Amino acid sequence: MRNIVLQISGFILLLLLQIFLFNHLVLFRLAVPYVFLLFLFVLPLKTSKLIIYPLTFFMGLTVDIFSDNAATGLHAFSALIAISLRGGLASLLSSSNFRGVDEIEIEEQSTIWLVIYLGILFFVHHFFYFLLEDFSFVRFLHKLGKTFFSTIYSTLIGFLIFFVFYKR
Amino acid sequence: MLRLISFFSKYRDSLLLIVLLLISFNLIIRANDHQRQLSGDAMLAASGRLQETGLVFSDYLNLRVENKKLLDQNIRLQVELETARQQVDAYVGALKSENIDAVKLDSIYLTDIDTFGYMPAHVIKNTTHKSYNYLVLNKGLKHGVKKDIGVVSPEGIVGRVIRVVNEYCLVQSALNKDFELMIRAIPKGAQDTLGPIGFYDWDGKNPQQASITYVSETVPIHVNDEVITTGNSIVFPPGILVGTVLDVEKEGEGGFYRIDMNLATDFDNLINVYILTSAHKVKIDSLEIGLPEE
Repeated sequence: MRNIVLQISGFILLLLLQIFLFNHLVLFRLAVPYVFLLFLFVLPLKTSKLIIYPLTFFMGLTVDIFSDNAATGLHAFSALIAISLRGGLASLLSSSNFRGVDEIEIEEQSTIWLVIYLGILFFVHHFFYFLLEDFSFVRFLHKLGKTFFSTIYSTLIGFLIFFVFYKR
Repeated sequence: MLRLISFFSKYRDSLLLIVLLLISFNLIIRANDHQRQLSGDAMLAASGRLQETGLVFSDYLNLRVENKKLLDQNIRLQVELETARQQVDAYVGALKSENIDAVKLDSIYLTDIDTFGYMPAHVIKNTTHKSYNYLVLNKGLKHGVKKDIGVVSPEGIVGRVIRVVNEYCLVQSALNKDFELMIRAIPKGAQDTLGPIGFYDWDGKNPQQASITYVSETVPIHVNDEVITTGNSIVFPPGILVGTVLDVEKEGEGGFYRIDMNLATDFDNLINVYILTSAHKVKIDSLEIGLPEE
């Protein structure tokens, strides 16, 4: 019960932080941290997908609406793609342990595991986000640069938040 | 039937994912289809209110810069006013010597000038890093703001109002790939507004620069020429500063220039802006009623 209350407050807090703080922390017009995804990425891996997918959709849509995107649905779409790769990525990264995906505890993983895990997921989201924002492949390198720097930025902030609030 | 149910229960996660992906993809496509519009009126109002409360703090931090900007504009306007006054005095003096009634003169002035008014507004939301940027201002229907009117800053143009709700309006920033405007380049400080005309174009990358396309090669253009609005639309009056010419290059074989320019407005630090109100807009709009939409 206590866990659920904590998760819900984390959900709301990250959503508010994203809308009011992180959306405005743009660095050199290249890097934008979309840190709200952290909440979804570090949900326990055994959580039912029937909960995670609608939650991702809802969270993405909310951020879309409140950050004046050119098209609503950008965050929802990219976040859904990233989140669907979560389980596979986690088991790939810890393949030597011969455990099922459900038993991987994200909080217990090493720092390097976490950074790679968050980095790849953030990259997938950012890549689709920046690509679909214009809906074209024109200036592809510029988009790739945006993706790359934003990934570093998001991963850094995401990891700090995780370290302070999640890690036991 | 039973196999169908077992099929659905087996793949329900993936099916759910696909359905949600299709919904969000559809949302993206729809926004691309037409002119890119943001979420509905209710959302604009809600998001405006939310952002406005968050703004209370950052406002204080920017006071100094903003004061400087307004003071600069004040000085510029005062100089302009003084020269205008001298000119009017000279005209009136000349006319009086020809025995024309001063009252008549007043009436000529009042009826012939296209009166653009300036309504001060506050920026409560602004982005510059996207390809399609928008602003939200704290003036809406309640204050008499209408769709399709221009917004300027003390330094130059800002954008065009594209949606209005009761208390807020949404502005398509000049830093938006869809922003369209006819502009004209004139030598710096020139009084007459004759000069080559072109189309405003922003490439979605640098918020300090934009280009002018389809400028005829027949008229010479120099670096540091001023770029101003033409006044060919009812969105902006003529003569509002857009930027200064940075670089001139030939575009293909078509006989056109493509010109890069520095934008006059500093979009990263926009706080106080003015919404233009045109007395003639209502009349012009009423003329267009009943015309077929594009």
